[in-house]
Amino acid sequence: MIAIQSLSKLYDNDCYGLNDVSLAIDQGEFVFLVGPSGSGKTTLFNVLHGRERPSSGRAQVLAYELTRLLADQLPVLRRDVGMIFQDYKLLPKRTVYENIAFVLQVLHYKRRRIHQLVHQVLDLVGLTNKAHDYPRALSGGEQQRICIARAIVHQPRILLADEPTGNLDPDTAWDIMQLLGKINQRKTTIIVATHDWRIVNKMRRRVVRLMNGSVVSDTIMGHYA
Amino acid sequence: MPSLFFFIREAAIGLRRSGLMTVLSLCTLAVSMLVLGFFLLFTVNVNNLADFFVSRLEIRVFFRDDITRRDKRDFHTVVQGFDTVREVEFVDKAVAWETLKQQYSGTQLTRYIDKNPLPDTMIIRVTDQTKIQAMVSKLETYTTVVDDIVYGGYITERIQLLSKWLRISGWGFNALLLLATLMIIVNTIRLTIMARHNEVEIMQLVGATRWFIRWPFVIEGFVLGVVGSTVSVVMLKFSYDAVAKYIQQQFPFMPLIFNSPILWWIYAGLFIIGTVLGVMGAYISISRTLE
Ligand SMILES: Nc1ncnc2c1ncn2[C@@H]1O[C@H](COP(=O)(O)OP(=O)(O)OP(=O)(O)O)[C@@H](O)[C@H]1O
Ligand SMILES: [Mg+2]
Repeated sequence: MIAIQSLSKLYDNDCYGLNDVSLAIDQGEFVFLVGPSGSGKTTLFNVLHGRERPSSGRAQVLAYELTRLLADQLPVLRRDVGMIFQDYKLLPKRTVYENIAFVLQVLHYKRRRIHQLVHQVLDLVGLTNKAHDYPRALSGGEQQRICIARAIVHQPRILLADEPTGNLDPDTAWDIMQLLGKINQRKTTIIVATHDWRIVNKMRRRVVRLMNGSVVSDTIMGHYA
Repeated sequence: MPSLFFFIREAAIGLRRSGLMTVLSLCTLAVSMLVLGFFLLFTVNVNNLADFFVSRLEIRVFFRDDITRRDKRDFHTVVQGFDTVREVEFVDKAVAWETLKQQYSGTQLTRYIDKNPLPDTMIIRVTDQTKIQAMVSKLETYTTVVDDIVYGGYITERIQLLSKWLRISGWGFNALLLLATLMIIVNTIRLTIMARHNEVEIMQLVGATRWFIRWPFVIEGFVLGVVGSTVSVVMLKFSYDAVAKYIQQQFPFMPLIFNSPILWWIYAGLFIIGTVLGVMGAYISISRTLE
């Protein structure tokens, strides 16, 4: 599903975002990616999502070899790999409904089906009543949930969640984690980057810890201490 | 492939949401096309004017006094032998004298000139003005028949040179203008797309293909092109008609292009160019943004 070998990402400013990372993640796994700020979590996601090209090593995601990804393959990869961005990246001039629907329009879904799926996913994240608001009218936590809804509406096979609970109060954060757990039960592979040790410790899932761009530990049913 | 309708709706939404930018692009396009159209009309008129003068150029051959009918006939055959001859006209000296006398009837020419001083004349009109010179130098060798040849030689050369120069520089200038127009339009549309740069990036992040993103922008460019060039063509037509009418009244002999099909070709051409520029501008801009 995801197989990474000796992957490095050297930024233009000679700073290693990732340094010799090797990692394998199976279909249907739920993995926490932890580490201090600047340890390379977002960089790893960006590589897996095709936003950054690896400098060396190999990274296989589903059928795609990221070191040799063609421009045409990028959109197709992204349909299989949903991402919840640390900074949301919602379209400011489109309503919540339109933001989510866009992903399905890209995939050529029919209007009726789009309507149905968007309402389902809005229901799931508990924001049905905000469907016709614009993102700027929403709180940070609400935007976060819209972002999740958008990332899962087309049921990607892999979901990358970068700090999905960063802006949420503990209760809502826990709800979101439950939600991600539910999505994981549909065989979606989920990787969550987070600083939230309480949640990590409560969930008892696999934990991969990064430090200065390298994997320093990888434990099943891990702790974050 | 989603329906064209989807992309058209997206384009409409895009145009409406960019409000001011849309208006700005529209104005830029219309003004650029107006300038281009103005110079096109100017160029065809100048060329037309030059053609007009050049086509008036003719060769006048004055015959010697001591030649026979037969000499003239032979000479006529020689002249007909040139393939650039369009028309040959004989003016008998007696007829010419009568005409002249009538023209100046008030001055009583005959009081000062008792005998007809005019020679028999042959007027040659040609199909290709650039060949006049060569033809004249050939005809001049028939010294037994020809007394003198008048063809406005210096003027001919000048006008021909000017006409050629005007033609080349006119079209060259219009080509440059077209290029400048394209660049202005590309950059204006680029501004509007830059304002939506984030939007484009996010679309890419959620898996939209390049064409999926491009289509609405290209349709927006098409709409801008159609509306912008229609506005400019309508403005151009009315202002040209007004100006041409005014000039015609002031200088009735000025050979202006008026009610001619060439004008409709220009208007149609401008409309098509404007539309193509709109589409191309949008396509180039969005493609650069997608890089
Ligand atoms: N575009 C970039 N150009 C240069 N350096 C970068 C770039 N993006 C990230 N880095 C550097 O790479 C390292 C890893 O950054 P990254 O964003 O992956 O950290 P992170 O683990 O996501 O941190 P956080 O928890 O704060 O989100 C940092 O030292 C950062 O300065
Ligand atoms: Mg980060």
